[in-house]
Amino acid sequence: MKTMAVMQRELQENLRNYKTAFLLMFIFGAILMALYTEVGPTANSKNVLDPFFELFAVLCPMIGILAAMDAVVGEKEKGTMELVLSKPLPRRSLLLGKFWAYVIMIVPLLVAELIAAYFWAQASGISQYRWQLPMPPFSQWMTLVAIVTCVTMLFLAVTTLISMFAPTTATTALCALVFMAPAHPLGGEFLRQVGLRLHIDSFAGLPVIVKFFLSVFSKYQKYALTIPGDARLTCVSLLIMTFIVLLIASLVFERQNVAFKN
Amino acid sequence: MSDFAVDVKGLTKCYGSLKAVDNVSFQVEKGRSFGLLGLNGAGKTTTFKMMVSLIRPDRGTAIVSGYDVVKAPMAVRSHIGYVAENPAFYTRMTTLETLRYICRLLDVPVNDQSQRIDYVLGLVGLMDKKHALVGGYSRGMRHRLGLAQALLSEPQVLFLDEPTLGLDPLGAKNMRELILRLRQEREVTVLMSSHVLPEVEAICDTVGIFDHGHLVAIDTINNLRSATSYDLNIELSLVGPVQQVASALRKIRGVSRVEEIGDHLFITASKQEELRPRIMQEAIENNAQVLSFGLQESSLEDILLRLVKSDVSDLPEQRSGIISSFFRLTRKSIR
Repeated sequence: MKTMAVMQRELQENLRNYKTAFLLMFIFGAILMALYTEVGPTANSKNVLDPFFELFAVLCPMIGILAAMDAVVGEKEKGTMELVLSKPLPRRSLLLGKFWAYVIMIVPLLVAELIAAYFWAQASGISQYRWQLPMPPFSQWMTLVAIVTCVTMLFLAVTTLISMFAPTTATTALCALVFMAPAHPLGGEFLRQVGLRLHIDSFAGLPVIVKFFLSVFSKYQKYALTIPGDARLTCVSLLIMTFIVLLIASLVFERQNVAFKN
Repeated sequence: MSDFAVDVKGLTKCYGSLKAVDNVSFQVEKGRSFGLLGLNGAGKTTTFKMMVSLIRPDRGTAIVSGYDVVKAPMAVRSHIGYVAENPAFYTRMTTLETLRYICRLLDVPVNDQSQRIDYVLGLVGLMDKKHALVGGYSRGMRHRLGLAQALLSEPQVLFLDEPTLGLDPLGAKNMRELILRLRQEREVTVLMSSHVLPEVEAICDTVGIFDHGHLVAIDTINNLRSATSYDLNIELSLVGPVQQVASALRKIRGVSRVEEIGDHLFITASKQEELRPRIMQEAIENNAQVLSFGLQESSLEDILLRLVKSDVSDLPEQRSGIISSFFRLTRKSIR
């Protein structure tokens, strides 16, 4: 009940301070970038999923960071943390309320805009005249939507966790971006090196537990796009990781000696 | 059931090597009012925040409204009202939305919410601002809204941290009258910390004086006044040979200071002996007419300054977390 109250207030605030509108524009801009810039498919691409996924693997964490960067620290900066924590509100309810508000704010926008992008790309014939590649089936496109949504949710949780420790909203964003920026190329290189040393040249046939941990790597996510079983596993793994990050955040926040603005 | 609204035992809080609050114990009876006094960084606000369960004490405990702040912080928060030093609100919400949100956090039944909100808004005089955005509020209005949100829980104990800080004289007077009215009408126990000592004198029955994290004195203001003051301060208004009277008074044993300002003499005399008749007699014997004879009592400020050892700098900035620690460390190493 109290989680719901926090969630509604957060949604109301984000609608009024134009954060939702800004994120809507950001996602829209990202889609335009994917469709109309020179970021193209690689030599062995079978359809246009590749350029979209490459771009969204980088942009979705950024969307998560932008949405949640003021989750906890924003309340401290505004001085409202003292107001809410002096009420019988469990700290986990505060965190969960905020997290769900961000999910409700982001996920419909992301899903709706990506679906719109699919139909626009098909109707305008852009995939053919720019890249001479067909559009993927809608089900495969929805797999991409599901995976990038789960990645965004994971980053919402990670940024919420970081915002508990950072002194300012800007520092939260900076720390989260520092964490995210090298993750994409380094993750790919790490998997390549491990594969070389262990003589593994394909993700197929790896045990489920290994795939669970692999699901945070965009290289594996890209592979999972075309294999329904792996796509499902990736989504479930990312959601479990989101839950674990939120659980850790709740436990830490319950014990944290919060510093107040006064 | 205990007669105490607040029962603090051995409360201690350390920030690194600094003992912000050291083994503080006191009790406040139900319906009474208690003032926490001290210089900046003396430990008042930390004690306050431990009592409202915003900060966890390192040692000791406090029972507030019958609930332990360490074992049952949620129950404590349900039964108290707390107004922070600088009440902050969500600037893009209206007064009504803010108070509805607080009602939901307090588990106020939906059917009672409107009635309770109207009551507190009427009490603090913000009824006409019900649909105004809080972002446009003046400091005084934010203080009043702070008090309104604190009253939504129908508290048995009200914690007011510097309730008139930054208010203009009229705003401060209104706030003071409101607190006194609450005490009288609803028998709320009031705990307040303030630097405005006349305000504490007007509102509080008992005061506790903090110094370097210790509670150095706790008593009624009158008792503290008599315990800490060893001298009488007398103001004498005369017509006649003022200088001659002053010289005669200086010769009296027990008179430590005689200051002449116009027709007035300001005399400091020992409390040990009754010197007032003798002073009057000297004035009359020196052919002076006494127009008035006034006794100046020690103010709360005198008492406070006599009891605290020295000035205390503010507590170092406390921030939580490893990321903050990293940035602090970097700043230190740059210096």
